[in-house]
Amino acid sequence: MVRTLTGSRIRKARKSDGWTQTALASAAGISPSYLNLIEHNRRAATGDVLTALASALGTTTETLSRDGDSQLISTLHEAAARLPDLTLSPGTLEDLASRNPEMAELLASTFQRLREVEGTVTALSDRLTHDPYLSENVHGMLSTITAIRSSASILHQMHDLTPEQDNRFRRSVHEESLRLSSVAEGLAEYLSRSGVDPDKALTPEETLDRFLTRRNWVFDALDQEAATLADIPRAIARSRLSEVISEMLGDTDDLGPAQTMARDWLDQYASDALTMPLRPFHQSAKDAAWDPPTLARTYQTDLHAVFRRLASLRRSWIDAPAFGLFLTNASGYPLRRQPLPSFALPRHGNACPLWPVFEALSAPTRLISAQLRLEHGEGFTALAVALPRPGATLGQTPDLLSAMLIVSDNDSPFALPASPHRPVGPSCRICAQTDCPARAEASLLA
Amino acid sequence: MTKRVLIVEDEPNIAESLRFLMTHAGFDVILEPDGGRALDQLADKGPFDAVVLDIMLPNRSGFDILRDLRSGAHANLPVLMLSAKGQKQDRETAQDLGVTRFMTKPFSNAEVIEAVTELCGS
Repeated sequence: MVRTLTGSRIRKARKSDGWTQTALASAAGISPSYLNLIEHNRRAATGDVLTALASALGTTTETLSRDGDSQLISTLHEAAARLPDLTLSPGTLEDLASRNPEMAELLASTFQRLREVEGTVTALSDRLTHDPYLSENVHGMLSTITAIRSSASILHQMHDLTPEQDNRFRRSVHEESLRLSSVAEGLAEYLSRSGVDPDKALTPEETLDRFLTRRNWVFDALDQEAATLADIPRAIARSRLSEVISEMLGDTDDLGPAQTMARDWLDQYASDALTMPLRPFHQSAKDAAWDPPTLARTYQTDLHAVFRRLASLRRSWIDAPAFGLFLTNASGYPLRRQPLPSFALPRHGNACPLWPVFEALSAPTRLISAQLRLEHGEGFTALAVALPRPGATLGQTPDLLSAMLIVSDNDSPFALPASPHRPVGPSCRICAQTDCPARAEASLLA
Repeated sequence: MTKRVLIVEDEPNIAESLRFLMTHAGFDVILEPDGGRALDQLADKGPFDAVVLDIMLPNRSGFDILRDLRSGAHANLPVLMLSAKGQKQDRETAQDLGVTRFMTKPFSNAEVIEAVTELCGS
């Protein structure tokens, strides 16, 4: 986890009030050496210690630990993680943010912009590669151009055509020219409709993605309602939550064909919220050192549900690692994706085949872990498990779903044995790894 | 001796141009627009000296047809594959399946005649 600038703020408040370190430490009931570590952001001041210091300084704990700085430092840490060869002493970035906040803001905003540009490249590449409308029309345009070029060339170069042949190829040029105009108009309209904004939704999957991303994949209304329904029969609780979902969807912008997909997504979220109520689950996760199998046993549920719930802890007031989630079927089609800022997850399949989410399909029910490294250098821990689709009955064709939980090494709570990091990418199309044995198509970045 | 070429192409104006050009160049040409009937044509109207094969065809893709050709009695029949998708992956797939030549649309008349002439060894 990332330390905040609380220590720097305590030091500033102490000096401004004319306290010595020894006097403030004594007033707060801690040793001067410990206060020194806190003031230099080498130790976190939390709980009773923070309360005692705030009380001695005549201020509040909130004033000493503001969230904005935490966000700034978190961004600086993410930026630093992109440079694997950069070795920073502990507290360097906190000191930078403290002593030179303008430079820290500049660095953080530049990094944010870089991340946005990367997201744009990913989204546009995804669209160019997989958009069926675009693909079909580009194919049609090339075929039409081929026909026109061939017929025009015959008319231009062959001087012994019969009147029928001459007429035939003139008609061909005319027909294909009309067709080309029509395709070009359609494409122009399509491109103008989509603009250059990669976040503008064109498909139901993209609409759902935008709906969820705007809400950070978190639905407080469902969590709060589920918490009040813990002691009533589950069917009644589900019914009540279904009403909440209807209200939520009724209040949103037009989801169009993505409405059903959004409802399915929220139904599952509500079910998880009932099984694993937010606050008790958060406490259980901390008590269990974030161990998914322990949590699955505690809540008598499966690992996929635990993965989903861990990934739904993303909110400012919860002290939890930022988890990403990727759920796929056996063909690699993404069924659920919650990317991390620096770990993009494709919308349309064609993910990196070296991700453990695919390896898990060869050993269903076995939880596997892997250390991954993206080409920009940041390391990640990934847990993956494949399970049969819930609700399958005897005689049905087995349908495996595989889920992968990902967390940055900077944020990872997992105590796993050290292992070499596996070089991976987001998908071949936008991966710059060279000499990859699993490469399936050329990279746009090559 | 006149060389025989089967053209499997569903775009009528491209197919007609190819037929005209090849006939004009001295080839005996059979046209088939349906991917599902390409192998029947080979069996019924063969032998052929070369096949010009589009990738995106109704009922059966050019890749499927090429796969069957190479695993059956036409393992050595020269095949020129035409693609409107110039992606490297398509070219690699075709090469893995044993294509003889690969050409992306839009091509010139001279290029395609030259390629077929070379494939037929004439």
